[in-house]
Amino acid sequence: MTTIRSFTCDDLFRFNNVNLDPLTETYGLPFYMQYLAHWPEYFQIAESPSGEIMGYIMGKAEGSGELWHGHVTALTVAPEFRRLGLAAKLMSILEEISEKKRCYFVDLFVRVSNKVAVHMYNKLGYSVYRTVLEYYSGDVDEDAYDMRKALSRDVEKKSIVPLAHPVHPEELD
Amino acid sequence: MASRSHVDVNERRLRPIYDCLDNGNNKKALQEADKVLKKQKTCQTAKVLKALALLRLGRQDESTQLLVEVHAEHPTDEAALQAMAICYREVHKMELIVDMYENAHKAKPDNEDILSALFMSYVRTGNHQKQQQTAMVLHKLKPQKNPYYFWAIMSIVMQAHNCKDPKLSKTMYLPLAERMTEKYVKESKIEAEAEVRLYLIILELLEKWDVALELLQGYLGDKFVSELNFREQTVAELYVKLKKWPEANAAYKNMLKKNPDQWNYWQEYVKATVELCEKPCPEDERNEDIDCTEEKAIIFINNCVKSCKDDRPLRGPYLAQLELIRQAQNRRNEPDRRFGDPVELLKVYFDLFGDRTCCFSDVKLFLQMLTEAEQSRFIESLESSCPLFNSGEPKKYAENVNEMQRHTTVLQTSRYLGFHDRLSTEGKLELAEDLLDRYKNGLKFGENFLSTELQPCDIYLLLASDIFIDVCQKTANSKLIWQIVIHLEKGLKKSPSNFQMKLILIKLYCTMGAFGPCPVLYDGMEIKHVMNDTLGHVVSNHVARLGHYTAACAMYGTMLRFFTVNHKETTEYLISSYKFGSFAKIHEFVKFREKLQNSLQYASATAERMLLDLVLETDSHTKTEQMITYMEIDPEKDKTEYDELCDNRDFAVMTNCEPPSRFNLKELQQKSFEEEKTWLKVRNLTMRVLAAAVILGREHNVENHERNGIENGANRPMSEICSSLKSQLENHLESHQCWSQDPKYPFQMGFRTRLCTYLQNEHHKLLLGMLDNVLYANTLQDNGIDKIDNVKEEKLKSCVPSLLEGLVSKHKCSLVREQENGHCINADAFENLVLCAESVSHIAVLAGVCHRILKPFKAAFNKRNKKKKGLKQPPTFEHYNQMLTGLEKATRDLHEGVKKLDPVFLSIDLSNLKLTDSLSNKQEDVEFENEIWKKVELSYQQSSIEVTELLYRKMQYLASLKLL
Repeated sequence: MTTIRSFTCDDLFRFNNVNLDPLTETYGLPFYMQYLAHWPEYFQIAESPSGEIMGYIMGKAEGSGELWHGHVTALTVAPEFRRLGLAAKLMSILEEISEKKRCYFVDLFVRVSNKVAVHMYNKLGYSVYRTVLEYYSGDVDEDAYDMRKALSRDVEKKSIVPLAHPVHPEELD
Repeated sequence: MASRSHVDVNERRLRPIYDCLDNGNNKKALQEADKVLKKQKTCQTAKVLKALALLRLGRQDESTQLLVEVHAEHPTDEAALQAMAICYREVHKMELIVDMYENAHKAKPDNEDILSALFMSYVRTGNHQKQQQTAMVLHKLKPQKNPYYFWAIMSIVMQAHNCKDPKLSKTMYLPLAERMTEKYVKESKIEAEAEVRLYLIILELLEKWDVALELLQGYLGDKFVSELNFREQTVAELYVKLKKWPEANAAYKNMLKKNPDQWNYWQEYVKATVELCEKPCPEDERNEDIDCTEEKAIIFINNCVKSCKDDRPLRGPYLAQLELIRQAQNRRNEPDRRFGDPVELLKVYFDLFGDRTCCFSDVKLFLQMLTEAEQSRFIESLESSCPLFNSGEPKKYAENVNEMQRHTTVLQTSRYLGFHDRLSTEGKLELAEDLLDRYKNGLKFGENFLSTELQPCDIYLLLASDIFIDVCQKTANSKLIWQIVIHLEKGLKKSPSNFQMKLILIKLYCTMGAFGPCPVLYDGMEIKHVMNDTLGHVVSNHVARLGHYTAACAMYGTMLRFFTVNHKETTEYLISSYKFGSFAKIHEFVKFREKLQNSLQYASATAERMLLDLVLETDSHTKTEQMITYMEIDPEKDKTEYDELCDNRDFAVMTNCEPPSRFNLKELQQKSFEEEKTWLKVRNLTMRVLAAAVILGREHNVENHERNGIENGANRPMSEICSSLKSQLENHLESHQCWSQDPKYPFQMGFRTRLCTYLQNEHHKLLLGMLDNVLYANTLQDNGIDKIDNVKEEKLKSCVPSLLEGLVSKHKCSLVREQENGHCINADAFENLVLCAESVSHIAVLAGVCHRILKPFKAAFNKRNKKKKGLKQPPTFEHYNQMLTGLEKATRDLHEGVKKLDPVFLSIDLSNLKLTDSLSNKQEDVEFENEIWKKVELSYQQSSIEVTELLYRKMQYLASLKLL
């Protein structure tokens, strides 16, 4: 029980309860504004009845030919609003928009160590397409899974056939 | 063909420069550019790229010189223009980009790319009128390209937004935009979704809801595809705007059938239902799709409840029943139970969802509509349903996380309803201890958690500290404050990502005068980017207050960098919005940029940073003068527009279950905002007083009356400006005496400013008293040193030193005070003595100005005296020197006083003072507590060292001001 609506700039002033979570990255303003200017429909926020921000999703559509796909840039839910199926709901919105845009698949990157998230994406129908080595920089660099889910346009589900070998970040297209 | 190969050659030659610049190898880029320029002396692009390399190497002057040269040639080459635009963007000279493209456009009036770049340059500078004209030129040039036409229309809409006169925007700009759009509609020239969206924006601004509705329902409504449900949802919103309740009701009902958990749909559905129930209409009653009676609404809601029962139960329909009661009650302004018993419904909700962490947040909205009797009934029934409230022996602990969660939901609810406030102090302490005990017991549920996960039982600890804090606020019990510190620090060990604990800890440490442990906690929350604006307040009101100057400079610096960098960078996204046709975002971006630019946090950090810079390193008046010149302050103008200031501080993050009866966040924030503005004005005026006086002093020795490079058209005498600033400050403080009392905000709110301390101790008297001396010295200079005024001489001699002496002796105290059962820290001493040190710094600057004015007279007198011994010395010199001696003495006293706040200097070991009860005698606890005391000790030492160092420099400063 949530209001899901388009993310607006003013939400940046209020999203602290979500972004103070250690696994949620706070980016510079240009990053958010780029998404708002280019893919406003892909940037959705969930609000509780008392007006607290529960979580949000940020995404985009890119690629050409059979690589035309929806991408999940960020998905986060504040700790107290977890276990409600909110992330799944936000993902389904992004998938529906991607379907409308006639995308072939949706993809996302996730830390290999983030078992909870990997498990959740599995449940939502995503599978590991490839591993990206040392994608996340930090004290210790960490690998990412590039996970994908085929959309209806990819009838043969060609987009999600896993790669045999991991790739380096510079090899990403 | 010939020209094409020429371009290729050029491109090939320039490529290495671009590559180097892209790789950040600016030195190499410079060399490559020089290589090209050797062969092609006049190549504009090479020159500009060289300028860019120079700029990035920090050689700004050389870079500017080159740019000026190329700029004057009015280049039209695309590569040169683009590179120049990058240069200008990096130095934030947006108006030069405009000028550059205007020149290029004049030279090549039919060049589409140049025109489009010119349009964007107007977007950067916010010149909407020029935007409109340029877009129309583009449109005439390429009439088949729709976007240009709609850029023009959007530019008109922006003029409507910006227009100060709302009538003009409604009668001129918006109708023009509307007509232009309609023209394309009639001529069937509309192509893109963005174009229809812009039409809708215009109609909404004109409040032509019916036309907007027609648009959405007509064939153009088919264009709305990119956002999910946009069309349906906007149609429903328009029904509400038009008060077409039956249609609104049916529309939302329809959407709810597909999406029964979307809260705003429920709110609007209920709103329409309540409206319909007020005026029943037989026609609606026959229509199945319209719920115009309570019975029909309840049936629909119940059906939604039933239909989702099979899968995961949805929360929406359950809360919809409560929302119906809430809205009906709000409408009638009295308890209204026609739609059911809210206590029963809440109870059902709690039974279903009470073990979810969101449960309290969900029901919060509906608690306030309960009557007092209902509130008690609700809490009683919750408590009786939860076995953990059974006070019998042995104490029953939660058996699993869900049970614990139910318990804490009840506790939160009961706190929110004010039940904790009704307990006696003993009752509160007992409850808090019980919660601490349950916290410790609950840790078993999160034993192998990752450091990024929160302990499920953290909420017990947070509630316990809330209750302890309630007690502290009533009784100012520092023992208890330290107690909470220890518990929370220990809690953080178990739950290192819990930001609530960090926020409370920062506040607690600062309450006790210890800033030292805060930066680690603050940085541990990864406060960055926009959080500098919304959460910077957590530290900014403490760091300078407690004399942690080094940290203050760094923290204000980080905050200011955020504001300046973002202002530069965010313009590019306005441009993107035009390019992608995201017209709805343009006004939003502009508003957002204004909010950041006018942020209170920005203005305060600027003022604090400048005042710090001015006093921190200055140990002589020459340095002060240099600093003032460097700062380019215009003493005549306050840079802050107080009425435009925006309060972007986020307090909600810390306040989730405080009872609304005594905690109205909106009102409290407004109050704090007013206080902040008042204090900011004091700070800005102080800065301007100091700058004006320093400039006045400098004028006496410098021939040209250049003032910080600021043009002073009317050339008002600086002494006049000083006097005017003096009365401005006096009037400002006079009319804001209400702030001399500590505003005593609840703990979960922001911290007060130093205004009450400042007013209570009349620090302005020191500043203004000294300013009087400056002005007096200045009149002597105008009228002659023999035209002395006895009253003013007397003031010069003793007024400020005795005020200062009084303040110092009032606030000097030892760090530790004896109490009935142990010791306590004199936490207030830090703020008081730090403020005194700041006043000393300001006085020193003004004394420096007096010295500057009087020194030539003294020199002249000394010269005459050499020739003719025994001349009678004008008393002013002596009085001035006496004042200086007085100031030096008081400053020395203050220096002594501040030194005595250093526990290390005093060889005090805080861990031995029994400032609070220990957790236990266990070795690990003892060590853990000792670590905390060590941090606090170091913090006090840091304050003491930094302030004594400052005062030492001020003593040097004062010593250099003797009239010899």
